[in-house]
Amino acid sequence: MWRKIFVLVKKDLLAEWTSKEILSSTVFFSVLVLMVFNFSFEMVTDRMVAGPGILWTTFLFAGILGMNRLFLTEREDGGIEGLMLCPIDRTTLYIAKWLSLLVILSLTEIATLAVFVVFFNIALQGGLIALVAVIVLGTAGLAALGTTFAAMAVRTRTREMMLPMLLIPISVPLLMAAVKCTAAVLGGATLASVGSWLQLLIAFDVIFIAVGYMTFPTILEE
Amino acid sequence: MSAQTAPAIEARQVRKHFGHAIALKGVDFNLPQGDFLTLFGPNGAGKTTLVRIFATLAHPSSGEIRLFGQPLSDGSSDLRRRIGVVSHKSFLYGALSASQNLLFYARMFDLPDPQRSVEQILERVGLAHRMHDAVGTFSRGLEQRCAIARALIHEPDLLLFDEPFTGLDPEAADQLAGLLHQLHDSSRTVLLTSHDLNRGAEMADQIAILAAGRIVYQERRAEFAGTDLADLYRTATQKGRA
Repeated sequence: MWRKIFVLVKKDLLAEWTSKEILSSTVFFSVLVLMVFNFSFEMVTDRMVAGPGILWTTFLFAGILGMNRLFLTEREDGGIEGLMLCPIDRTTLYIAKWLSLLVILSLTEIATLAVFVVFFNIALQGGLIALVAVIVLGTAGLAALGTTFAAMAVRTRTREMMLPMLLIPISVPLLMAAVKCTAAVLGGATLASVGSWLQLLIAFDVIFIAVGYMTFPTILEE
Repeated sequence: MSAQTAPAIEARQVRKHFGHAIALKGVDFNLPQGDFLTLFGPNGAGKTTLVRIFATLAHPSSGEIRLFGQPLSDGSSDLRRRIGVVSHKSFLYGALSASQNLLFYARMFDLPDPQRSVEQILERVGLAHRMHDAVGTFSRGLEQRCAIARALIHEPDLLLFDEPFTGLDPEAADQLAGLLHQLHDSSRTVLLTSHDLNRGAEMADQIAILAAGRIVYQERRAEFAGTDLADLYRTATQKGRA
């Protein structure tokens, strides 16, 4: 199973490396959003109050763009049906798509974080590892939701609207937890000080990865 | 019945509905191994739905299907190794080259020497000279040939062609027909859906007509040879609507 997952993820990343369709749009969009926020909050003295929220809002909207695009590529020439004809379980497809999305969102977030640090004049000090941990946990949850809902939304005519309408309300607990943890880390506190939010973040990931794993075969077939 | 003698496809009372819309109303269907069957039917008759079910892309709402004697519900994943599907969609990635696309599928089907299999199949469909070009740059005819290479790369026993002539110019359609003749000669089981009565019947051992979600006609070549196909089709589809 893991060898097939590797082949599937490699195919997604090779297609993205060749076309650069997803990353070029998500990174460009992230930079634009951060620029807008940067100018909007120019007069605010303590910008770190809004900083974590701005960062995760940018991750979320850039992520939605990437999720839509990743599944649209599969939909355009029936690629997803080609995958369904391969001798693998549909759940293997879920894990592969989740991993591909995780890698693509992570690459977008690395670029976004670099721009965020510059625009908002952030000194990461010793909190970089904790910040990376929070971002990885938050992104894992977003990718789990995105894989499930984008597979659903891409079959509809109003896919561009459908995905945010499905994803944003359900991702609220994840975003709240991720923002609280990010604020703690950027404020110089340890993750232990926001233990309950961290637990919520982990629980969200476990629940929605499991839900996606169980429902993905039905979503693909119906 | 042993797996060698079991029909390639055996369907009993297959029904499929999408909400309140009924696509298949109890299809009974039998396709012996090695036969070439062309399935005709008007738009919306349920041809694509039936092919999708045989291809394991969709589940029937009720009824029983066996492929090579094995129920479709058991181990569909293994049965897929014996099925190749070509439709009007290519199932290929435009950003990747023909060889990258086929190499991907060769690895998904665990072929022992993927690179060699890709080279051989591209040679066979006449695409070796374009193997490094992105599929997105191909004409519809070339893309369809690459799609056939994809469907054949794992040497399936059963080939399902769902309106493969759609969007092809006459030259590309002739090339595709040539490939279909070759497949017929290789004693594979082929199910083709088509709107083109003459072209579809020309290479078939059997023809069937699906109308309003039911098989209303299925006969071997000896029965339909020499008859007016257009008249036969008109009568059968009217019977289906009645």
